[in-house]
Amino acid sequence: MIRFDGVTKRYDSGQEALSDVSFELDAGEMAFLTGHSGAGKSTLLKLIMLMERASAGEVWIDNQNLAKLSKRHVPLLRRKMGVVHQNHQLLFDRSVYDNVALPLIVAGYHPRDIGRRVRGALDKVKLLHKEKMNPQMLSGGEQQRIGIARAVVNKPPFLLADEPTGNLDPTLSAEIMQLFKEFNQVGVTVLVATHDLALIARMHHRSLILRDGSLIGNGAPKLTPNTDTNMDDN
Amino acid sequence: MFKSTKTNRRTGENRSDSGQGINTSNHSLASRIQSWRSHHRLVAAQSIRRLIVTPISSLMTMLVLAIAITLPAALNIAITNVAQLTGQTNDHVQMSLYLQSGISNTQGLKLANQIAAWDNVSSTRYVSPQKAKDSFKSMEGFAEIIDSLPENPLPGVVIVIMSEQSLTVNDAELMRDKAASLKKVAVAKIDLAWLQKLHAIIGLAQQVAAVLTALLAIGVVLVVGNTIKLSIDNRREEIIVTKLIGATNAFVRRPFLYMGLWFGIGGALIALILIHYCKYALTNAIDSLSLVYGTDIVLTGLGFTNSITLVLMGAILGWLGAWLAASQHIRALEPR
Repeated sequence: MIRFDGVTKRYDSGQEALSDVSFELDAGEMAFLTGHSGAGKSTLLKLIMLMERASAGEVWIDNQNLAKLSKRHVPLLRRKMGVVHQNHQLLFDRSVYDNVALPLIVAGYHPRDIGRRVRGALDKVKLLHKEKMNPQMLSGGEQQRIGIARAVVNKPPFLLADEPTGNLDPTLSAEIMQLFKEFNQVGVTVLVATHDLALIARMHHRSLILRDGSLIGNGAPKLTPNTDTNMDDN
Repeated sequence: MFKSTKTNRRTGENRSDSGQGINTSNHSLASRIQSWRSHHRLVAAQSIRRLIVTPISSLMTMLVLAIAITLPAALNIAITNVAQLTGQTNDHVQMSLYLQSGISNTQGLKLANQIAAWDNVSSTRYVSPQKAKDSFKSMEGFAEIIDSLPENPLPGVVIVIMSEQSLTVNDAELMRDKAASLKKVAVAKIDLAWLQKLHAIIGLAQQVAAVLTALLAIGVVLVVGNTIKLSIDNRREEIIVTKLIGATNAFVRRPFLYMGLWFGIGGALIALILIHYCKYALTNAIDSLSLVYGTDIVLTGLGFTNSITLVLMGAILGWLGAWLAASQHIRALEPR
């Protein structure tokens, strides 16, 4: 579960990226995080990933208060989260296989298990035949899928995605959303930050809507929402 | 995993069975240790491969380290050799008492025993005129001269070895005067001043070598540290991504520590080669020198134990430099 309790994030520059945000995401739930760029989506995700710390309020992940988490335990918490970044964050100095294997190596998996799990994850995103290639040789959509394979390879209980379909055409976006849905169906808690409202509309999941750092919507969207205003009603 | 919908459902069930279910650490301690060891092996090999990929720059760094290691090592070896060359006279201060002519061997021996009881004397030895003549004859060029003399011109000599620790220059001079005043003694000679100067010079050289060793050791640490810092800067992105995935600082640091270790060992090995080459080159020169002077000078090199120590020191310094740089820079590299 992910819980925000009156969370405010103020950067050193004085800019308030999040103001008094509270919500709870149950284990096994899937939700979207939406809002204009600059509304605080990335900041919210960064707080969950412990790339930033809250200025006020509490962030709880898996019954752990992140404010009380020592630096030493940060890596362990991060291993519970698969993160799909907008810019993939793949490493171009190694093969697709080695990119996907990285979370397993970091977590200290036995070498015997690594091959099996990596191939399983690559198979899931239908890129098993490209395991030996350099990610640089792949298309944007394929790179994104490699990023997803890496995010789920160690079967984390949480899957976070920051604009995972930002640079993709609608068909690819739908495919990737379908993947997230499948992970959710096997029990993974999924939170996807996106401004692709059409996509959200089709998926019928809960949406957290941010505007200027405040949570202004927290519920399932109507069936035909096309504008912010429609979603604000929820 | 996730191979078919069937597997998916099964995985789902497994997850609900185990409550929290999806567990990142569902492997045993033994298997963790095994994977930790295999990661060390992997990282050790990878960091060597990284050095080989850029052979010129790796070699340059190692050469700099090798020179920094060779200088103090060679200086220490040189001092050891000089100290050894002067070793026999160096360990003890020696006084020679040339006896009056006509003193018999029995009298000479008696005198030697008598002086052996003096304060600050560690031992005495009586050299009879005949013995002195024999030892002169064994020296290059003296045989003919000695033989051409009608009678043995050499007096008996009592050689007094003084215990050095308690001896000051003053004490030694007092002893010389005391010995010279003895009736049987014609001349008392002591080579104290020269020895003390030599001592002082060797002591000074040893101190200089120690300071130089310390400075160049720091130099090795800094060179490795700087190289590792550059390497960290080059792999910034990788470090941040790895940290985001849940890598500990120790995990991220590991390849850099190995790199430092290899730099240190590589530098030390090149230094060994340089030192051995220098010794070889000098041995040739010294051999021809010994030939001219008819003496036998043997150069002492590093030896096996010292060679191992040198490589070990290189490894430790390289590792230390890498550790200092890595722990500082990697902690600062947090995903933002």
